Amino acid sequence: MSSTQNQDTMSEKNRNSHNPADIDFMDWGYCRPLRTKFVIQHLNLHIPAGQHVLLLGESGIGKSTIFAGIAGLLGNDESFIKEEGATTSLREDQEGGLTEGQIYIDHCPASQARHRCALMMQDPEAQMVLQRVGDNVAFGLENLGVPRNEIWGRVQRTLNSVGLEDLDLHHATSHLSGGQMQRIALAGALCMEPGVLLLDEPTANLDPQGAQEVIQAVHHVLRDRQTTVMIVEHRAEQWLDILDRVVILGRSETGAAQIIADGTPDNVFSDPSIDFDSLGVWVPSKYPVSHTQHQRIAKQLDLKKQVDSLHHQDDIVDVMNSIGDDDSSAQKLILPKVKFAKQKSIQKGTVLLQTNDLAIGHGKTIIAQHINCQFKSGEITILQGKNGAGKSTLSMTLAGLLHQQGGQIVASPELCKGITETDPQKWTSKQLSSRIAFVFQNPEHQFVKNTVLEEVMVGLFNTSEDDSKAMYNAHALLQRFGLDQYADANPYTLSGGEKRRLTVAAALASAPEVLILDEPTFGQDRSTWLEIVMLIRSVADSGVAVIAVTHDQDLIEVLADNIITVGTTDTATIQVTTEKERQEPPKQASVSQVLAGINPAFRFLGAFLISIPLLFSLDPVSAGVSLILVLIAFGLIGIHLPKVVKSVWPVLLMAPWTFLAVVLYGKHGGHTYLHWGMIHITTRSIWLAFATFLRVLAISIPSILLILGIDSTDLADAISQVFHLPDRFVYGGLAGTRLFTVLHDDWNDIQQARRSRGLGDQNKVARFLSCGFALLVMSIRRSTGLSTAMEARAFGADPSQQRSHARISRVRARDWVFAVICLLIPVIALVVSILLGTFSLGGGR
Amino acid sequence: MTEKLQHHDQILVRKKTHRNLRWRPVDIAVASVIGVASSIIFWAADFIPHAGLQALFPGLGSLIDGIWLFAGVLTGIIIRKPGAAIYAQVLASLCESLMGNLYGGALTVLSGLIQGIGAELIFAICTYRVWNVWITMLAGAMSGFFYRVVSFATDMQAFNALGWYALSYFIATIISGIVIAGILTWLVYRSIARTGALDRFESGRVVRMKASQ
Repeated sequence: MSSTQNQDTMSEKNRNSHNPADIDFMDWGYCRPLRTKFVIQHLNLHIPAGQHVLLLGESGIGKSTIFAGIAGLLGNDESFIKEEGATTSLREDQEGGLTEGQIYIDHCPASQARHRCALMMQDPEAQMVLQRVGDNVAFGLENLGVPRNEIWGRVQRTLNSVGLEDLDLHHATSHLSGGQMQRIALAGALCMEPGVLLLDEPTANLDPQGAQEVIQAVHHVLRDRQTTVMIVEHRAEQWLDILDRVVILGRSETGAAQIIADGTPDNVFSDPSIDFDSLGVWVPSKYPVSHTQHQRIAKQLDLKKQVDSLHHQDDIVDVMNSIGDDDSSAQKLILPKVKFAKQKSIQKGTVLLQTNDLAIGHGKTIIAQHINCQFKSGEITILQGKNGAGKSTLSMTLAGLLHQQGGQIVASPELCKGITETDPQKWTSKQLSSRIAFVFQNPEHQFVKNTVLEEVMVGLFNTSEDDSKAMYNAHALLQRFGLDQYADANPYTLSGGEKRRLTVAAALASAPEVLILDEPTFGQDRSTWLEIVMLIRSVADSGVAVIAVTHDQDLIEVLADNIITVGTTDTATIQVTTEKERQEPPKQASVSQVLAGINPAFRFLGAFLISIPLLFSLDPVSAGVSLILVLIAFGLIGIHLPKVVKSVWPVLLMAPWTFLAVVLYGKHGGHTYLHWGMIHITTRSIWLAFATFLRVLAISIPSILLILGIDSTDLADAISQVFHLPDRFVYGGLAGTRLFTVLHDDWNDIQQARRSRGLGDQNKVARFLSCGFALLVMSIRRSTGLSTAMEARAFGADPSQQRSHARISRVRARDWVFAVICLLIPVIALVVSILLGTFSLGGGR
Repeated sequence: MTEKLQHHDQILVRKKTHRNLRWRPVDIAVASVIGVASSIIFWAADFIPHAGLQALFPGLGSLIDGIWLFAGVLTGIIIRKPGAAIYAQVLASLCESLMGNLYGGALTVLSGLIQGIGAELIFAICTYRVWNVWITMLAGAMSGFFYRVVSFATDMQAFNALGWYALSYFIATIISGIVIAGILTWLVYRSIARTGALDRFESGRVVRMKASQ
């Protein structure tokens, strides 16, 4: 009876899995952990199967939360909360969030329909779960238990459909462009043949070309695939022609999100009663409202300029009166006008920084040369160009954070402010921070303190002010940036826009003459965007030379005084050498061809077999014989002595110290040569020292060489398939190791941010600890993102579902032969020591 | 742990719900990443001339042993699920050995396992309910003790495990386990929690709730 029922549901599952699903929100709501208010409440929405819906609303309103709900990632723990003895319908999950109501996917609660939904998120890097392209796309299929013979066909087909047919399945994801990574993520989602496809700001982190690639790929796949699609994106423009419906979220009186508008794109964007500005929505250019939006920005910027040029408080009031009440956002920007920590006395238009025949690059590769440009006080210079073209390299070189490859960067006397050295690269961290400030793309790279206030104080102390004055100025600065109410909050806990403002505030605190911003408007909604634009303008108007690295066309349009284009095209102001296709040689799995062909699990096993038996006896004979046999065996498979030494040199450095320790403190016996305190040198201690010395080498050399170079993906496959350890942990661990490379880049940025903020002169230990902590926080943040990406691919969705394996880890006869040889070597050595009578169990008593 | 909550215009009291000891994907991901990040620290610390110090000044070299013990304790207090300490410590030593360290490749994984078991034992005895600095100090100490017992049975057979020299080792490792893997790790955990990075964990919310009160 029950088995037929099972079969029924199974066949239903299969039948459904290719069809679009409908989505039903029934009084659904969610309260985030540690919050006392629901972010979304009583949401009722029906999305029929196959509809393409755009979800709009300002940052933080809960769009991503809605997606997480649909994807079945929230409220899975069915634990009820008692309220005065009565049971409510609230469910608390392990994340600490509370869910009310229900979301149904084809009449099935979302948490049980995780295989029907695929979620794609905005950060390309965070969605690369495994190292290789093909494995990434296959990951979701494995989690769904799709048989191996189907997997690779589906993977290749989906990669073709997103325009990545030329990409080798074995290519490492770490060297791809953002657009390519995002399309891999899309392929990974589509591969699962979802009934619902959720796209959470899929182009927010991409340059225009990358964004175009992704948009085209989505258009293409929707042509011949029936699926329900929901998109969250601040700019609707490029999605318009595939949309059936637009839903706009706004805040109700209680602060929870509610539906403000719902209808076809034409209906919604032409509705005069909707205040798109306050909802943070960019209206597509084909609708008349968008033009008034643009005019308003221009007007506000103009007003800001007027106000900044005024000196008397009375005048400001006058201007405000003239604006009237209709433009409250403009007033908000003017009211908290507090002067910068330091008055600028430099005349506008003075050249502060210039380059003479500058060449830039990384390490020894030059990517651009003969760069001659000037940066003037009060002007905004935009550096634009494709991602990876070298904008960041140029900006960091200008900021004194990277070594130039040739030519000079010259700071003017006004910028040098009394120091004779004119090359910013040679300034101390403290000198640098009060002259040139650099604001990194990721705000979290530059946080150094526990509170928002302290974060700003760092800069003020650099300009050597006394405590009380610094405190006063810090508060004034925070007030100006609308951050005063968060003075005691931890910087990491601010919202995206607030973090961005804080980093600018902290940079300005040390009163630099040059401010360099890397992608200041990346992934911001319209309100935050406007805020940042106003901020940059007013900073420039106060006499600072601003350099902004960006590919945000709207930003360039309203702010640029000068534009420098970095690229390979003829129109570029700065020509960069064409980036060579990164041809990685296939990574060697071992220094020896023979070892590379052995199953990784067996290589590990071999490392144990070859070393553990030696622990039975501590004598120079068994250790020595084993060491000789090992070196002969390695010689036979092509690992000769020089190679051995090259791979294990640290052991060779350490082993003599071990020898010394045993001579001095080892077990004693026989003739005493020296006895002084704990030191007791005897015949026996010297004998044991030789034994230990040889055994350290006999154990370390093979066990290092046998496993050196194992590919972590191959190892995980082998551990899962040969040792049968639980897949959840094996592949979770594997995904963690992929963050290695990402964290390496983080580490560089974190260190440069310390220099830029004036903390680079600290002693090494203090700097290491501070950077280490920042890296740890960063890695935990990245890993929570990683887990969402994995869950979005049905990882751990259904514990009863056996995961399938896209790759086979084969165990062949040669693996067994290898294991036997590994065991034989120490066994032969032990037999020899027994025959010679030197065998000594554990080194004796 | 109770918390006030506004819902439908009324105030609810949130009661602590039952513990769930099953691992979520986020538990696995965070434990893995701490393991991987720790392996870099382990590997870097391998280059401290620790054997030399130990030969010249008995006990001194082992005062930094706690560096190689913190991964298990830190993961244990953050994840608060059975096996967390063992998993992270083994993964950290596995990655350390894959990078090629100087303490005998595969054997490193074995000592990682032993160290992990030491810390895990303390958490398990408290049935994964008690989490404070005393527990982490005990876990660090136990982790160090286990490690030393095994090391004298294996690579340090040349020394008398019951002699003065061995005693200096034991004392130094345990002190280091308490200070570095116990107290320092606890402080690091609290600081991480305050950044909000652990909001998806019970361990993180406890700290943040106290801070906001």
